[in-house]
Amino acid sequence: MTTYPSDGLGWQRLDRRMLVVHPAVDLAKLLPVLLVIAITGGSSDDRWRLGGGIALAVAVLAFGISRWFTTSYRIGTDRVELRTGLLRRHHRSVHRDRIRTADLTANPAHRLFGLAVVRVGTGRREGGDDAELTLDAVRRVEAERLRAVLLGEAPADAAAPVPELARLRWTWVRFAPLTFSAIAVVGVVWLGLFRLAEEFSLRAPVTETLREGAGRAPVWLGAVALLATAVFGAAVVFVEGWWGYRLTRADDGGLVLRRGLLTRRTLSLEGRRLRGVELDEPLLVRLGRGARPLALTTGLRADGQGEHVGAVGPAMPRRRAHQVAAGVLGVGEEEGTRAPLVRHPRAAVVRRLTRGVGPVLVVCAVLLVRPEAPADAVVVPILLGASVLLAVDRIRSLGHALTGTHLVSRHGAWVRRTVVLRRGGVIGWRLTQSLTQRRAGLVTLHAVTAAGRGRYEVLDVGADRALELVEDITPGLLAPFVIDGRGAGRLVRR
Amino acid sequence: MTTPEPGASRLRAPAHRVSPRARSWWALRSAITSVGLLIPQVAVAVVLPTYTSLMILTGVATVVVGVAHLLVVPCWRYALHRWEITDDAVHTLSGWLRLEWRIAPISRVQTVDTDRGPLQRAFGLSSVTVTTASASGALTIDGLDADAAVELADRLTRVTETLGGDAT
Repeated sequence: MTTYPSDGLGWQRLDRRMLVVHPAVDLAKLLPVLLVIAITGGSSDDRWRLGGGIALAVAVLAFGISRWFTTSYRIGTDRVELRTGLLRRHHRSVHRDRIRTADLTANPAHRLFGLAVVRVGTGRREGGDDAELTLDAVRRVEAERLRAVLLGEAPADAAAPVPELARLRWTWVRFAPLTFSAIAVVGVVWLGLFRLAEEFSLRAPVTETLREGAGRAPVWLGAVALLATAVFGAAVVFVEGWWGYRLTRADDGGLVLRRGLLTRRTLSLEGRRLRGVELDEPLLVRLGRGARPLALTTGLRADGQGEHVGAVGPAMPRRRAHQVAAGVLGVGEEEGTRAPLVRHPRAAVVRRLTRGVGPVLVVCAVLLVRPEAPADAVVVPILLGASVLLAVDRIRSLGHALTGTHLVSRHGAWVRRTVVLRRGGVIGWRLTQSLTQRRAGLVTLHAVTAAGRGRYEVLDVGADRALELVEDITPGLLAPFVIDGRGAGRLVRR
Repeated sequence: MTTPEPGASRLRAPAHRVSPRARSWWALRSAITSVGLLIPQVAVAVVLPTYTSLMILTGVATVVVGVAHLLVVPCWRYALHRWEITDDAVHTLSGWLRLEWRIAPISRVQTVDTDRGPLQRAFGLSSVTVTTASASGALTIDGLDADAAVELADRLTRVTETLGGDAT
């Protein structure tokens, strides 16, 4: 076990300014409740309600203030400790060996007072929140110092130039409306508006006005309104999330990601935790010639942020995304996401067609047989055309490569993903073969890794080639099992 | 469909089968699932007389499929399920329609667990689960003889203890 220099400061409290911030933020959160208390209710006993409201507010204030007095932390030689809780004391300690991430975030309240939250992560997936230790909050300078101490970096030298991998270009905002999250945000906003209307019992008049208006307003106006909010909402989310985006390389070969307008986030990814990169091209973004770079690292929590775990940039022009990916990997583009890919066997191509078009053919047949189904002449050609196009796109996407340092795999049409995984990052394998794959002599090879989604697949590769890849990346692992099987498409001889 | 060229290399199955009693366990599990599917159908048939004939139809289908599954799948599984531990790695082969071969290098193993559900205990069986640092790197050997499972877990734990590192 390694021992680290203690910072010699012993038990410390959070920044004194949290005496104001905590109660203020808590009160702000309570505001809707207080408002409801103030507005609703009958005329029966107003004093009671007033008293209740004030008591609640005072309790929240007292709790907020007590948090400062009851919270303390210590950076020891081998562990970081945090004590919290007024009635139920909680003591959490994290081994410094186990610390994988130390990230800073600051919401607007924190920023107003020059504070930042330090989130120390151990990267253990089981354990959930318990594996994390949060200091909410300390002074910005102290936060930067803690991050440096915990990650074992040299204290940041402001004068020294840092190699920069990427920086925000405002023209990238054009990709924002093309991402799925933009559509989701618009949905949430509309839902929120309706909820609010319902809450204040405005619903009846609103629906009436809508009904009246619907008679006159053409349909396209509604569509335009939706589209406009989608574009606007996406732009707002983009600006909030990626304002001041900057990706730099740290001393240890890791990455430092800074972004955010209202909530500043500083995310550092340790160099030895990096296992590779992924380039995501959702269909719409791809049509706009864009792509989104992601880093595959261990120790990032998989929950909460869904697909965006490890995003090292917003959707950006494909050319730039390739550059960022190459920069993160530290290799040339031609050995990274742009590596020339090996095509898969013809059976894999046939499989893309049968799997893509087959179900649609069945649906179309059903539609044509049922005479009462409307608009066959329009729906059937569209369905068929789209499925064929998608299948062709899947065929074009499919491929893999093995470079000197990385395994590259690409597939998908709705979201085309190009995964570049370091050879050393592979910590296991899965080979699967379905009945139809067995007939076609194909295998799906999954490279298991500690980073990202946990495993990345090379879809429908020849059984031979799969064994070759395993042998190349992890020599000798499968050797005791390999035999010469004549005319065999089966993975396993029984 | 193309036929792969002759001389293609492939794999021999891992050496060890699971316990023969696993067949009875799988059969019982299959029977319980079928009964679990039947109960709501019977309930509907009794409570809503309009649907009785339909429920009898689906019920018969459920029984036929259930019995076929019970007779065929456990033996099929038993024929396919294999495991082996080499000097370098733990290998498991499982599935029945879709074959799955999982490999976890010994140097990457983080934990070794044995667990015995109530059904497995009734047959004197146990499973061994080997986890690695990956969220989806775990592999499980189901239906081992209980004593053999303990022995296997002990052996694996001893081997992995001698190796350092955090296995990521």
